[in-house]
Parts: sequence; structure tokens; C-alpha cells
Amino acid sequence: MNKRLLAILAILVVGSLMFTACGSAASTTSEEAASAADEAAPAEEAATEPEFTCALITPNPLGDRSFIDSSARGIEQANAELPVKCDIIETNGVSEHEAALRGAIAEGYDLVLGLAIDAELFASLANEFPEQKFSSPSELFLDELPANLVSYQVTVHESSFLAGLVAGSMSDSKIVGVVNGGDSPAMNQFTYGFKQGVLEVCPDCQVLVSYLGFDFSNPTLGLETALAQYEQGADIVYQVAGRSGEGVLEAAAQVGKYAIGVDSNQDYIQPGSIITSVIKRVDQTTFDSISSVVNGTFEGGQFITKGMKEGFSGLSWDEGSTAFEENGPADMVAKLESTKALVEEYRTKILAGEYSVCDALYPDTPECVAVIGE
Amino acid sequence: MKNKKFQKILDAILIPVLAILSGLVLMGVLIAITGKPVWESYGVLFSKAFGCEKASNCAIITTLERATPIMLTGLSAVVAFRSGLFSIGQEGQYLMASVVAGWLGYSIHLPNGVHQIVILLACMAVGAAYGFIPGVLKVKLGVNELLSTIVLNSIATLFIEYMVQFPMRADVSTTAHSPIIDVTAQLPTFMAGSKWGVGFVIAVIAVIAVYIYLWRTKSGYEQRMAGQSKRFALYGGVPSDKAAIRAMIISGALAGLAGAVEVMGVHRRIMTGFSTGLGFDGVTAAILGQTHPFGVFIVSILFAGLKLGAQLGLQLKLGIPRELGGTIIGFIILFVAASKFYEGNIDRIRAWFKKPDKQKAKGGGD
Repeated sequence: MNKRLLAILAILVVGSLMFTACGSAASTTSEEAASAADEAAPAEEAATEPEFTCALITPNPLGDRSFIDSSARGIEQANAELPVKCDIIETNGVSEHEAALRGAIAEGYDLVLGLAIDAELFASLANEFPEQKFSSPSELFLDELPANLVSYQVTVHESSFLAGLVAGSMSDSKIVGVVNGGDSPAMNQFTYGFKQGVLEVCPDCQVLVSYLGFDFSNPTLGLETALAQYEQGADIVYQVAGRSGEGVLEAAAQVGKYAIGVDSNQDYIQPGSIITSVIKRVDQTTFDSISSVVNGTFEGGQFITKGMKEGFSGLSWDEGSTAFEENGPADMVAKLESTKALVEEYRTKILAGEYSVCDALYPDTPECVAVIGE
Repeated sequence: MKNKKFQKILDAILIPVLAILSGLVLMGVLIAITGKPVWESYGVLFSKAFGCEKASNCAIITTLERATPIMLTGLSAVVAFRSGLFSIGQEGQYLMASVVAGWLGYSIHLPNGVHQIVILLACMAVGAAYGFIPGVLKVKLGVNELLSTIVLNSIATLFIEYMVQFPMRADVSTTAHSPIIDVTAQLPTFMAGSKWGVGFVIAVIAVIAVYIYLWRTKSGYEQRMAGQSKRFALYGGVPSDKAAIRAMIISGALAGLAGAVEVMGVHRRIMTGFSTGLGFDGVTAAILGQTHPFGVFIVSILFAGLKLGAQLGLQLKLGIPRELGGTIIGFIILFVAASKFYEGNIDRIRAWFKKPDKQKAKGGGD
């Protein structure tokens, strides 16, 4: 009896072989084409042979048009400008992080970059593989780093403050909103900085804050939340909510009001509705990590803090974004000039250390007490 | 008689095997469409899932480690499904137990050996309690367990996020997490550089225990009878309400065990984004595993391997998106769901084979 079953199985296996054989035949041509292209490239310059490889492990899949995509751009830039070959390893949440990191280490990459990886895990792996170089393009909170691990840190509270100035000085209704992915100190760095900025130029303004319960991948929720804030009279909403935040941008366009983007330059997503975006240059920290190894300046065991001063954080206007200027309504565009002047004025003050912005990680500082107490 | 039993087992395995083969064939087609080398992809997928190039980084070891929570949540689903309850509350029970494991791991201090057992038992109790809620709602108020478990899953997801962001948060950090649990609360691993350890042994013991319970004990028989026909079970004197609640408690305890093992053996803490759908993977593993503990054992390893192979093999070596692993699993489930198609055809083919068989038998008799 089971002979027959075996026969059936055999037929299936053979069938699958035939299937795949057809498939591979089709693909060889494109493979050949690819290898031909490969040959052409090194023929130009033998020197561009990648002397150096690296891999970026993302905390979640690509496509957030924000933090993760920004880091991926850093990888692309490195591949284009440096003699390196860098790969991106996507993961789907914390349960896959360690396997991905270990896999990358086993592959023998010269540098392993981990984006938003659990700090203890990262440090323990760095201790386990002391010969391997590691870098974290985003914050790692540890007291001490292993000698083969570098952690970059991009501060966002100051640039959020500038966005707050923009919202405070351009709002007509004197009500502005924040749609925040989740109520946590790190996320509140955005919120409190922004709030401080709004109240600095517009002391009688009201700031509505809504949290999305750590749902960073739900644009519908972002849209609904933003619509509720517009309903309550807000005319400018700052989104700090990853993919959920795309719903906020969409809501602004739907009701003909305004939004402020985050992480990457998002001004182009809804032209004319997004006044500016707060930039967190994770692409730059990613690129810097790689170039430091290429240049031989990589020095493990240190925290590298970058902020507005170094140009790692700021507004999309700093990158020359003119999407709002070109597409926004005339009355709002008219306010841009004075707003920009105000932004520059405070930027100078902050950089000179004359003005301090609340960093939500240190809620006991006087500037934070003033903001949170409001 | 023995031959008949063997036939039965073969029949049970046949459909999942066919479904998996069909899924893999379809994967080849998809890869061919993207213009990547098909044959090589299979090799890469399997070597990165079940191979072992270096002792320090053995793919099969990682696969077994990743399979452990899926195995336990899968068993949880088996117990519920076999008792006629379509509970998909594994994710919620798993998360609730994870919170408890993370909390007891650093808040109480007990000697090595005792600490782990206390946490394991506490997690099973919490999982069971979280499973008891939909069970009692179903029996007393007739609330559909599918709906109530969906809702309870959402509550658990938000609860773990709240706990990790506020009461249990360790120091300042951008990604919130709780403190590392005590060494006495961690489950030992079998080798350095891998988290594969005692958790897997617990899962294997659970596989055997669930099998013995459902097929070799009186109360397990009641469960299955209540699952197949509630009225018949009642008529036969089986208290089916009691059986339903008992099923949910056992199912919850198993999912709770998964949370305990994942926290104590792998992450050693809980962190934001802890919920990654391992509970739902358990449900799919139970379905593909023919709601049988041994089926779950095999399928959970296969699932974990496919995911790992897609991530570290296809994505890293060939630049094929990681999602393909999930897509194959999706297709396999689809093929299992469409098992009627196979069943019909298998019967036809079998009938075709049978004819000459009978003739031969006759010939032998002459």
C-alpha cells in the first residue's frame, strides 16, 4: 500500500524538479546579464574592488519612510561613495534580532551595524566577539561600551524646539497638536521640545498631545487621531509616529490644514500641507560609522553625540526643502520669512549655549519642569 | 491491524507533506519571476535553516531555539482546537506570562534552581488564568472564544507595552526595556554563543505530555470527545462545560510556558515590541501539524527554519526579500486549507492503483 504513496511522492518530487528546472533555465539568462554587468564594472577600475564589507541589521522591515529608511540611505550612500560592499538585513521585531546579528557576524563582515538593537544584547555580542567591529547608528543606553562598539547619538529635542517655533508663529487658531507614537521619555524628547518651542513664541497657545499606544505602523490610527485634533481646532500637527504618522500627513491634506514631518524629509509626501520636517540624520551616522572604519579612524568604546551643531539634526529647510514654499497657500507662505528668521535666531542662541531646551530624558532640569508642568 | 495504524499515520502526514512541497515549488516559481537563481535559492534556504557550517554558528541550533516558543504556543492551540475551542488567545497568554517572568526575574531573589521553577510555575498560572477568562465567558455567557481571545490579545499587547515603558522600565533608554533578570532566573543554555537550552527540553517534554494527556488519559479523552461533538459528549456523560474550561486553562498554561521560556532563556528581559506574533505562529503550526503534538513538533522547527533561512540565506546571500519566508508559510497553510483538493485526487489515484493490486492478489491465490 505504501509503495503507491511513495510512487505518488516520487511523481511530485520529480514534478517539482521539472518546475524548478524551468525556473532556473529562465533565470540563467538574467544571471548571465548580471555577471556580465559585474565584469564590466571592475574592468573600469580594478581599485574599486570592495576591500571592505559591512551589514546593517534593521529593527523592523524597511519602508517606514522615516528612521529605518534613513539609515538604509546611509548604506546606499556608502556603497556609492566608498570602496565598500554593504548589505541590509531586515528583521521583523526583537525576536529575530539576535539571530540576524549572529548570522552577520558569522558571515565575516568587517563592520556590523545594528539599528535600535537592545543595548545589553549588543554589548554582550561585542564582548563575545572582541575581534568584530560593531556600530550603533542610533542611541544605545549603556554606562560603558565594549572596546569594539561605537554608539552614535542624535539629539532631537533642539530641532523639535525649532519645529515648535515654526508651529507657534504660524498657527492662526492658536491651537497646535502633537501625534506621538507612544508615551515614553525617548518619544517625549520630541513632544516636550516642540511644546517648549510653541510656548516660547506663543505663550497663550494650546498644545494638544495624543499618544498612539506604541502603534508605529498604523496610518489609519494616525489619520483618525489627527482628524480629531483638527476637529478640536488645531491647525498644525506635528507627527512623531513612524508609519502611523503618514496618516497624520494625509489628514492634513484632507482637511486643508498643516502638518510637520519627522525623521526624514517628508515635505514632499503631501506637498503644500507639510510646512517642514524635523530631521534626524541617521543616514549620516550610518555613513560615518562605515567611513570611520574605511579611514581607519574607527575607535570603539565611545559614545559619539551629534546634534544640531554638527548638522545631524535640524529642519528640512536646512537641506533646502522648498516643497511648502512652492505649494503652500499664499497667506502661510508669507509667514515663512519671519518664521525662518526666528528659527535662525534661536538656533544661534541654542548653539551658543544661551538657551536650553528640555530633554525629556532628564525631566528634573528647570526647563523641563516648566514645560511638563504646563 | 498494525498495517492499518501505519496507514493512518501516513495518511495524516501525507497532506502536510504535499502542502509543503507545493509551497516550495511555488517559491521556486516566485524566485524565477524575480530572476534569481532558483536551484541555488533552495540550497541557500536549507543550509541557512538546517545546516551547520561552523560549530560556533550552527543554523540548526538557532532554528531549534527559535522553534521553542512556536512549539509551546502550538501545543497550546492543539489542546484548545482538540477540545472544540477555536481559541487564538496564545499571543495574549504568552505576553502576560512574559511580563510576569520579566518581573519575577529581578524582583525576587531565590537560589539557583528554585528561582527558575518558581517563575515557570507562576507563568503557567498566569497563562492559565488568562485562558480561564475566555473559557468561563464561553461557558457561562456563550461569548464566542474567537472574539474574546482577539480582544484579550490586544489588551495584553498594550499591557506589556505599558509595563515596560513605565513601572518596569530600567534607567534611561530610547528603546524601553525592563532590567536584566537575575542569573538564578535564567535558563541554562547548552553551548556558548547560542540561546538553545533547557527551554527546548521543556518544550519537548510538553509535546510528550500533551500527547499522553490527550490520547492516553480519561480526561484527555473527554476533551477530545467534547471537541468532536459536544452533544454526544454530554449524552455520554462527559461534563462538556468543565471540559471546555479545563481546555482553556491547559492551553493558557502552555502558552504561558512559552512566554517564560522566551524571557528566561532568550531575551532575559522584556522590551518594547516584545509582541512579534509568536502566538499566531503557534496557531498556524497547530493547523499545519494536523492539531497533533508530534505534528506541531515538526512543523514548528520547519517554520522557524524557513524564517531563518529566508532571513539569513535568501536575503543575505541572494538579495531576495526576507518576506518570501512568510509567503511560503502562507502558501503552505493555504494548501493545507485546500486539503480537500488533495484528498479527492489521492483517493482517485489510490483507486487506480488498487485495481492491479487486487488482480495481483487474485493471481497469487490461483
